Amino acid sequence: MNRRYIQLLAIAFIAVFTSTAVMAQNAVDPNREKAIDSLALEKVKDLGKYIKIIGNKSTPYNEATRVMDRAEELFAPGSEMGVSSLAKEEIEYYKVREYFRRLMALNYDKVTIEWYDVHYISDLERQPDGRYVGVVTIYQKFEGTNGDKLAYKDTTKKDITIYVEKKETQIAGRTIEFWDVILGDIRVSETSI
Amino acid sequence: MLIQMNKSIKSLALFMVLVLVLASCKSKKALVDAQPEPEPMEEPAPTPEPEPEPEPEPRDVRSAPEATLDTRLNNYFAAIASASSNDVANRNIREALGLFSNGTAPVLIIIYAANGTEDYDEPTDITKYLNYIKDTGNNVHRVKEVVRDPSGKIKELVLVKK
Amino acid sequence: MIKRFLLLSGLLVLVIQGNLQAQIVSEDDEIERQLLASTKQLNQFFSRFNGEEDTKGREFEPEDRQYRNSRLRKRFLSILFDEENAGFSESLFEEFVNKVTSDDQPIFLDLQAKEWFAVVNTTFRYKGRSMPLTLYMQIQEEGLGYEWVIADISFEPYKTLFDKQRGQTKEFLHPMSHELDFMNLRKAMVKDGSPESYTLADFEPDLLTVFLYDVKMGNLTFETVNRLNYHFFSVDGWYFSLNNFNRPGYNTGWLISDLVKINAQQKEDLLKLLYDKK
Repeated sequence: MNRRYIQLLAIAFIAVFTSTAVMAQNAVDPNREKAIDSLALEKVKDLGKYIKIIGNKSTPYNEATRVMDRAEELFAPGSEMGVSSLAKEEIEYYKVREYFRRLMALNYDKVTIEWYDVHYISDLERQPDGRYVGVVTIYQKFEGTNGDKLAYKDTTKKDITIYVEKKETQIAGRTIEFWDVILGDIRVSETSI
Repeated sequence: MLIQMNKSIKSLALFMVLVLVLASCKSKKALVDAQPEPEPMEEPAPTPEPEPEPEPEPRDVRSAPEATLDTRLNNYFAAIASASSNDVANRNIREALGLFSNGTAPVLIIIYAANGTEDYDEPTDITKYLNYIKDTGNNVHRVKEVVRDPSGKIKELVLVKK
Repeated sequence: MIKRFLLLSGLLVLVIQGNLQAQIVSEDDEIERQLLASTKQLNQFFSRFNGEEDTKGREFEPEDRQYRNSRLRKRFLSILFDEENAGFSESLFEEFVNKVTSDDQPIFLDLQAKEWFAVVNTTFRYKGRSMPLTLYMQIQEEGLGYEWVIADISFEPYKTLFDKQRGQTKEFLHPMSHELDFMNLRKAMVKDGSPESYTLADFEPDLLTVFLYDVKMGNLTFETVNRLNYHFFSVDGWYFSLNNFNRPGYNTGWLISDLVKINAQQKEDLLKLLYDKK
């Protein structure tokens, strides 16, 4: 999150009613921004862990299905994966669930999915409806083996959309303000590394 | 070929210079590390805060958890996160759920607190939360507050990032 | 400055090589170093260009000594150019770097910078065939924030669609048509005819509208995005383009691939060329 975010919030602060001004003011706190950043990164990392479970051949079918449900809950409805490879630069599009199903059905004895320890979190930009949007980039190493033989290997860059919105809900009669961080479309591109 | 090699050495060098130049800069952006942390058993139990608001249901008890309940829950979290198998994790989840009024007891997670206001993650329920620990191996929250029903079961749980 | 810097880098290469011999670097470590060096997002290009983050992509606070520091920016700028195919001289590069990092009028870039746009090469299905179509996209303010919008398009079949004949050979409605209550329109307005012949001399088709109409009518269906690049006129008197370099090494990601010093006329010509206009 960045200074523009702060500026935008500052503008919002001036423009919007005093009731919401407190909220905007609070968000200026750079530590709060960091907390939201790390919440976003956490969701992305959760997705990575779910993908590992779904891809793991030893995960029972019903467990994989349950985890797919949980993984799907991280996403905004209608989110898609846009996939391209070095051989084929045009993007193919899959609904998130379809992508998970394809991952589960891959024809290898063993699948290893690891993330490199490098990521990049963009600034959050405000969109016309007032929600904030950012992109988290991660790199994933995929290996499919049959027997002892490496059958397929690639490294992909994943640019993951995250939407951030402050929401309210009632819990046992109390109003809880929370940060709704959900994932959106993911661009998956094979790297030449 | 040689030129290209020189170029890539140059790029590497440029990059390394930057790394070295900035190595002394302290990290400004503390990123969440999903690495399991040592058990927070030694941590002092959160001191109970005076409750300024009147309770909507007087028979419920909102309090900082007793040391034993706190420890029990945190231990379950740790056990589920590091379970050696699905079965072990599921058994721990079942046991932990026994401490709650029901499986849909709300769980609030404080991600940030300052100046008397608290920022939360999206509220979830205890069944989902325990499964979340199982699936991700993330044991990154500790118990901050519990609300118990008259029979002593937990009907609401407030967690905070360790 | 740059040369001194390269000299310093040269020294460092020796140091690094020494270190490499001393320890075995795993393949993953090497890849991670390359990924760290890569300019992974346009966002990171802006942050590096502006000197707003460190080499690990961590943002500086504005009160940080390093924040937008011109020495830091100079170092970053040297890795923000495509080194493999750079078609510009070192002196041009130095002139550009000195301009954008000058003490009195430094230039910073972000999403809201003036005069930059994306050229997005896409494929659409049109009359049963997959065909290339170029979208020219810009960021604009709207509602509570910003959005990307289509500013213009270029599509081969549209280029000649409304080409109008002039002079003696063109089709026309004769000058006494009014006396017949324009009954000859029936022969003019026909499918696959040239209805544009019957328009004002200065008629100019609005191809973006035609495109939107065809999308709405289902005549054009989106298939995919192929490649994209960005063009910047944000630095007065300069043009540069950004391309994504997906290759091994330390000089990868979103990098400046063209850098040209331009005057007003050249800018106009270049814009026409980029927008595929006659």
